[in-house]
Amino acid sequence: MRTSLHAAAWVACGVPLAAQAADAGGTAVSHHLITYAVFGLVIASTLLITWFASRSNRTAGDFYTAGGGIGPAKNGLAIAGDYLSAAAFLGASGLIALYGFDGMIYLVGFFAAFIPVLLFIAEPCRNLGRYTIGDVLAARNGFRATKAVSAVSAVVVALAYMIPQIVGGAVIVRGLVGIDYNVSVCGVGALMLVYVACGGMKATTWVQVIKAVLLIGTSFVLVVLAWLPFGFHVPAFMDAVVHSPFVQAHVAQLSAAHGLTGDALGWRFLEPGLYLNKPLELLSLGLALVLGTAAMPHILMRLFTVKDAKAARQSVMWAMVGIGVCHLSIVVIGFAAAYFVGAPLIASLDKGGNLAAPLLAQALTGGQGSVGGDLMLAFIAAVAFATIVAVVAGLTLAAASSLAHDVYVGAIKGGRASERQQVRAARVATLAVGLVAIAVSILERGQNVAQLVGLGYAVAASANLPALVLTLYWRRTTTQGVVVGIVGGTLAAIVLVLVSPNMTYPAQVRAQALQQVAEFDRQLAAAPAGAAPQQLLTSRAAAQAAADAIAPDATSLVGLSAPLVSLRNPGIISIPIGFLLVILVSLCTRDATARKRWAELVVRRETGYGAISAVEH
Amino acid sequence: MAKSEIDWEAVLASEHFRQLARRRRNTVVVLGVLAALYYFSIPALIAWAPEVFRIRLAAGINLGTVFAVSQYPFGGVIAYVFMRRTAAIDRAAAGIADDRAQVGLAVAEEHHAY
Repeated sequence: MRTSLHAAAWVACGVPLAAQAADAGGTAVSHHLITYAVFGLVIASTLLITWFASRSNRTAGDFYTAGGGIGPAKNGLAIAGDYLSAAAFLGASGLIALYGFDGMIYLVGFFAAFIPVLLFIAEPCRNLGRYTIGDVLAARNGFRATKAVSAVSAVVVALAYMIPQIVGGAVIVRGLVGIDYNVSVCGVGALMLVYVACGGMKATTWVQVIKAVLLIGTSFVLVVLAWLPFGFHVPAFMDAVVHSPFVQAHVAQLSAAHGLTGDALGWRFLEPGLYLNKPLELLSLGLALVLGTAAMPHILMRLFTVKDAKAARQSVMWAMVGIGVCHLSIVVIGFAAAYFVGAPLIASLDKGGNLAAPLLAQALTGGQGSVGGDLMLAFIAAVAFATIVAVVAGLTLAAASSLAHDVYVGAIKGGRASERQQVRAARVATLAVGLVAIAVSILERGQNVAQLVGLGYAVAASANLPALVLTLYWRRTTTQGVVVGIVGGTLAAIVLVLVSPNMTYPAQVRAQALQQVAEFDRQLAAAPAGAAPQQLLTSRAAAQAAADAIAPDATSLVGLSAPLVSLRNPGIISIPIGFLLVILVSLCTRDATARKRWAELVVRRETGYGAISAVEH
Repeated sequence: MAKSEIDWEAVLASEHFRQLARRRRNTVVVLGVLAALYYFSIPALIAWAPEVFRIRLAAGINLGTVFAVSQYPFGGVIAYVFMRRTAAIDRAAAGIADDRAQVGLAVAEEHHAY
């Protein structure tokens, strides 16, 4: 159960756990020419747009925020494109297909997370900031110190979120259409560098808009195809899911459904607890999601691309519409996959269920091996690929802007740099971030990097959010408090993950293997003398070998033999730590500047006086 | 930007501004609390009253499914109410801009009729 909880947490956080998919052998597509044609079409169209966008990129403002001239509806769609990761589409639909209700409540958290963005963050940030979260913090706090620390946490969050996207995405693309892992990583990396370095925010926005439209459109088509046999009568569809022998047989195998039979099994699919049996873990994850999203650098950055605060809140509203429609479609896709494809096939290709949506598409349009089915599957794979590239491009731009604008122009040059220097710094930073991400992703091949996504959310919620919220809304906040809060919140989240059950504990793995050996010994002793228990002997030997391979005193990465905390999601501990640090240090220190600027901050926050104007004429 | 020309303390202390800030704060706090209650009642109900979500409403539909899906329209309602309220506050805020025309404020906001 613990491993499955783990899988659910990270899949839902946006990471495809498809490592098994690729190793399951073969790919899901048999008509490769179609696949390459569809992929080529999607990529060519985005490159064309980048070319157009790059011709009008002149200033640093163009590069970071498209001159602040993007309309709210378009920006809202781009936020949705930034936010709807491939794994929200693939991972969450798979979780619903395998675990019903529990998959659904994960997805909901990602939507609910936008309400704090809308209510507390969007307008004040647009009123006070220019390109980054560092700008907002520096509106009141000490310029260099705030800029430097906020950039560090922004880059940590962006990289932690980005690398699993690239790794998981490459694995999925390989599983679906057989493109080699390294080629796929380099492809994603090269494309994202082209989009961001050449096209800046304009091209990135277009890539995200295209991706959002493709993803929402594809989901919608799948919903229509799935509901067609039921005459679009939702209760009939859900009733069919409950009565599906596929679903009932699958639920019967889960330990949480012990003792149930017949339709009770189908109903159990729609009840909580098949996957997540720890409400505290769910609460902790929910907190990190709801509070972390509001401080994600790539989401915040998009708020600066519009004209004013009003346009910023309209953007968030449009984003909620796009994300909501897509999520509701994903819910239907998940249940439809459980009904039409069935959990055994989904789980056999990938234990995390990531291939549920593509398999459903294939099943609804002619089945495996048919031209229609393969065309649809290739299309979904291309959409997933575009999705990864769009999300990664947004993150790269956010990390690069923090490095170039906050660290180089802000902390190092003290805010004085020419337009040319700024643009060059932004491009160099983009290249650096992109190369680091690609290199790490290739090195991490075959590793479980999934915990990084949870870490990204936890750092955002524990470091950036307390600093941001208290700077905006608490009069006594000081620069010292903000600096200590960001550093402390980041460290708290990282340390809590390092001592959590997310890490591998060799001693525990060894103990588990030895337990298996003992179990096999018991079975061997109980087996009748005549029946040759060859299979038992082989399994026993394998378990013994696994145990022998680990030294009895082996420890985890940080030297532990067992986790210190039982929570996989550190949010419920690290978020209060972040807030407490800012509050306590602020109460103990004096910051005359921060106090003096409070009146200005409140007035600007509320009214937008002196906000960085939109398009420069 | 003519930042220095504005007496921030005076604006902050003015009755008009305080009224606007209070209106916005009340809107945000009330909506925020409602949204938090609605969302976090999912883990709360699972932890303390798990039987609630098992109540069957129709063929193939139970209360849990309906409640989970209802988070989306509920979020939509919160967003809609917020947009309406802030648009009204913005119109009132445009008055402040008239009082203190030193800065180029987005007076265009006045033209939006909601």
